Amino acid sequence: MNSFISSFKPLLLALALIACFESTVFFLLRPDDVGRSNYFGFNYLTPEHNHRFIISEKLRQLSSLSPDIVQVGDSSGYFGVKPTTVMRYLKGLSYVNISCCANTGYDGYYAIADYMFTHTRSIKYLVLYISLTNLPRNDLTQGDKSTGDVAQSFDSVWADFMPPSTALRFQVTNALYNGFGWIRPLSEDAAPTPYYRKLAAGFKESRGWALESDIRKMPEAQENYWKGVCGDGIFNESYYHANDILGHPYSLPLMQYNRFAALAEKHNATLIIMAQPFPCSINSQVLQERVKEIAEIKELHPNVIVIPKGLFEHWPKEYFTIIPHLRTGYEEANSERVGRTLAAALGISPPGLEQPPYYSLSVADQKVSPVWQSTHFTGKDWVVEGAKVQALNSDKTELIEATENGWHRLMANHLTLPKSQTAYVFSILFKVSGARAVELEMVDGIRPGQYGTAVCNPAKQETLRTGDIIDADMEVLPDGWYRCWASMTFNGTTAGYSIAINKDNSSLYEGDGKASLILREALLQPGARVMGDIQAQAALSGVIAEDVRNPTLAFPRR
Amino acid sequence: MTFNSYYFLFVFLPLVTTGYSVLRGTRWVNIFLALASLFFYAYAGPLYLIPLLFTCLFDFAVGQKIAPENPFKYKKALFVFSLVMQLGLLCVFKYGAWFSHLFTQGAAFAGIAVAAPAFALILPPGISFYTFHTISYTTDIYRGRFKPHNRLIDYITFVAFFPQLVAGPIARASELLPQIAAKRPAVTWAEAEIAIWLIAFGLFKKMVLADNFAMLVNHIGATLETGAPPAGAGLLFAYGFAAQIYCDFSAYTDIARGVAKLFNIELTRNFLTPYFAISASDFWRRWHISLSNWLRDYLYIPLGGDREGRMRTLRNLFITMFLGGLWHGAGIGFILWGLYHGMLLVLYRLLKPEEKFFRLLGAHLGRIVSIILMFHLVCVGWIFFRASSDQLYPAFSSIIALFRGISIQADFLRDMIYGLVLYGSVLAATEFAGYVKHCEFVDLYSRWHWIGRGIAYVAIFYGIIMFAARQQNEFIYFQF
Repeated sequence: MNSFISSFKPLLLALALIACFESTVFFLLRPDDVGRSNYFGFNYLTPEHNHRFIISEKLRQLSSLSPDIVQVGDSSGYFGVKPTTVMRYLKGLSYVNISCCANTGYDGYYAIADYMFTHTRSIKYLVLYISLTNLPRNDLTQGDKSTGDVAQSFDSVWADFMPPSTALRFQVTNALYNGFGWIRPLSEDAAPTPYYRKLAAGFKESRGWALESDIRKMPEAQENYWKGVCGDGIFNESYYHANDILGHPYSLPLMQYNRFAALAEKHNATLIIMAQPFPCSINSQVLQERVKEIAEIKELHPNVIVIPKGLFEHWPKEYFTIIPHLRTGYEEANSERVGRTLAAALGISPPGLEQPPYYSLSVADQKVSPVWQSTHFTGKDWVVEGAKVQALNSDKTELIEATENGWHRLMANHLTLPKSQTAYVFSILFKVSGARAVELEMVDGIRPGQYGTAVCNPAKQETLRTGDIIDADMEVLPDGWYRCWASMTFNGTTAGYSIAINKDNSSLYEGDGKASLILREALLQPGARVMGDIQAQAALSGVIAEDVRNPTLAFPRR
Repeated sequence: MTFNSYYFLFVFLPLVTTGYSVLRGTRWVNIFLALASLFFYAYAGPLYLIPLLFTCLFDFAVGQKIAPENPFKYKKALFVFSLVMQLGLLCVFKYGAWFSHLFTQGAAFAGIAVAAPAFALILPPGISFYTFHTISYTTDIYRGRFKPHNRLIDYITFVAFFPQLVAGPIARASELLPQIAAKRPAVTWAEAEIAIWLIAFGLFKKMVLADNFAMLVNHIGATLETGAPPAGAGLLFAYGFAAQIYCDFSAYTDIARGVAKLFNIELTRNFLTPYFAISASDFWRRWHISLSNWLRDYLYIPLGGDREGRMRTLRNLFITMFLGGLWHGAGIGFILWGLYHGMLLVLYRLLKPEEKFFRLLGAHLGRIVSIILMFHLVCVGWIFFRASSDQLYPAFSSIIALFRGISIQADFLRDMIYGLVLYGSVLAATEFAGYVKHCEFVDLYSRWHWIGRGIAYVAIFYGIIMFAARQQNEFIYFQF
């Protein structure tokens, strides 16, 4: 024994020192389990992946809300279900949306659900909300590198043994990797960009929902996308089967539903499997097999509810940006659908709410005069930076980029808006030359305020948006003209706008002195979307909306 | 299963050491160790066991037949056949796909469209290492330097002994097999303490140093791939990879030695402060010692070594280093790296620059200059070893650009240099501490006061907690 003690004195000393320090950290900081996890990399010069940030912030913030209903799953639910809307139908039950992304994998969804169950005793219902395109299959079992190993970080025996000082990793690495602020400025937190910091700051209020931010494709490109993804190959029976160690095949959906049902059972909760409306047609045989699995799981576990019964509910393609994502403006209708169907499934009598408009975004009324209009870009409203402006004739102006490195833009600052907390849509008519795109930038006049950009790229036939932009898109007009528009809700009554030339998705670049934009008109109107958008017109048709609202009606094919 | 995984450290290793302690002294102990080793290996894929077990059984049988006391007539033929089998198996797995690809490319270059057989064999981990283990066994028996072993289970334990199976050190049968076959005494607490230290420091080197250097190297590598890297990026790439591969490989060796100690088995040392080498031959006495000794004894000396005149010696050096490079893997980079080191050995032997530095600058300054020169020459070699075809030319051109005074990207260089200095200072300090005492840093442990040892453990613990890369990276030498 003496030999043991003398040999292990150093280790015993180390253990004693570590125990003292860890106890001190624990009592002083009381780190939560998210902070104490190994989930973030905190590697040198490597920003955290936004999916990791979203998952960890949702777990941290939403577990403290003591919810009755927790939703996990892929991004169809993250963007498509607004808990604040759902809760209007649930008579006091509290709902949180912890869905993130399909690449979390079913192991990840499970780990998130388990974490919530163990940290929140109030949960009565677990909602597994998924798009039919992300039903359980082999490549969606484990998470990928971007979401990291959620299960190991939050739902494993290793996670339980993480020392409290793990919660100090951000502070320590941030200080050392940035030379205590001397080499580079220190980071505020693990957010990969300020946008995600702002997004996460709103999670408690939105209860986990966020605005989708997909690329907008122009009609032809969007149609090609649908042709590509909605073909015969979208579902294949082989996706949903795997072999066990003895080579016997088994159903992956059944296996996953079984796990989730058992987890809910363990915590005296009910599992609700819910599918997002689907934009494509679907091979009925494959769907029938999935419905059979659902019937089987319901027999095995009486605590399972499935909505809708046949899993499949069709909504028009115009309501979607990609298969699992509803376009901004339709999430309200979907959340209403979730609320209504959940209430019915849980035996809650309908609250008799007035149904909100099917498409929730306001559309700029063409008959109402715009808040602001400009056709003369050389006028006093505009300030030019890194470019030259020349009037071509009475209604056309050319913005030619300079050869310097930096922005090449026109700015309209300090515009006065009639109302605060209102959405305004900014649109321009333009032509482009020299493989360039146009970027609209919108900024609130007050701080902290809203900020966002939209890049309309005619060559790629797509529109990208960032930050707080609600929606944006581009329309093809006659004679090579395009309309690029973007909308944002302003906190205050002053606003700034810019029209910049964009090259390869960058607004800061060395210009060639030749490439240019030809501008005809810039408009600022109240609303979140412009009229005239072909897709919008189709999608806003009352017939379609009413038809989807009441699925018993035959859906008119177009 | 990798040494830096939770399952290895907290499940597999405790279970195996406990099982070993219970069975030690019985005839079951090596059966247990063999099974544990095979399980460890099969964890990566059960099919990998097929070539491993085939090699074990085949060479064990060959060993019995070619022993000098065996009256079998065709010993030489059987020995040559066994070499062909072992190296053939290695070549098929390691070079099959590459040769097939080269053949197709060559034919295409000549304007002939050839549908070469598609080789899609997955390389079994550590095949290069265990092939060399078994070659040492049959060769030593054939030469009459070692008697064949009669117990198959001991032989399987020797070849498959899990601490050294996938990345060495390359163990000779004459060194390891007698230890495995013997009844080993219980591990003392003092030995266990050293073993734990080796494992702990190895984990620190791998998870904190090697994996973070790897991220820097990847970062710089991505810049090289753009084709227009800032001046000096290639040099930083070489420094970063020199540090990464040393920390990675020596960490594996430390852990392997520590784990083997828990079974009272001593594995050979693989490194001795290699970046303090003053010449090319000095470097190979300090870097991957088990491989360089193996190549010396089983290739260089049989080729004639330095016994047949200067030109033959130089030829033998070139051939040995060429094959040493090829041993690392199928790829032109490894061959160039081997040839480059062959060239360095030849040039150092012809020019003896270190002696000139010593004469001109005196012992201290001469040594410092020799070390700096050799370190940079080794770093240049690492570019061949690590760079992809997209990175190779930009790496060298960015180094040349340094001498042309081309404008530099200050932010990029600042960030990369800071990162390298941050982790490099830890490596440099520990290496220097070992160098001045003519040993490795891990060996200094036994000379410290127990309070110092305790503080070292605390430093390692918090180093890992705070700075270890969270994604589990495999050891580089697993691929070989």
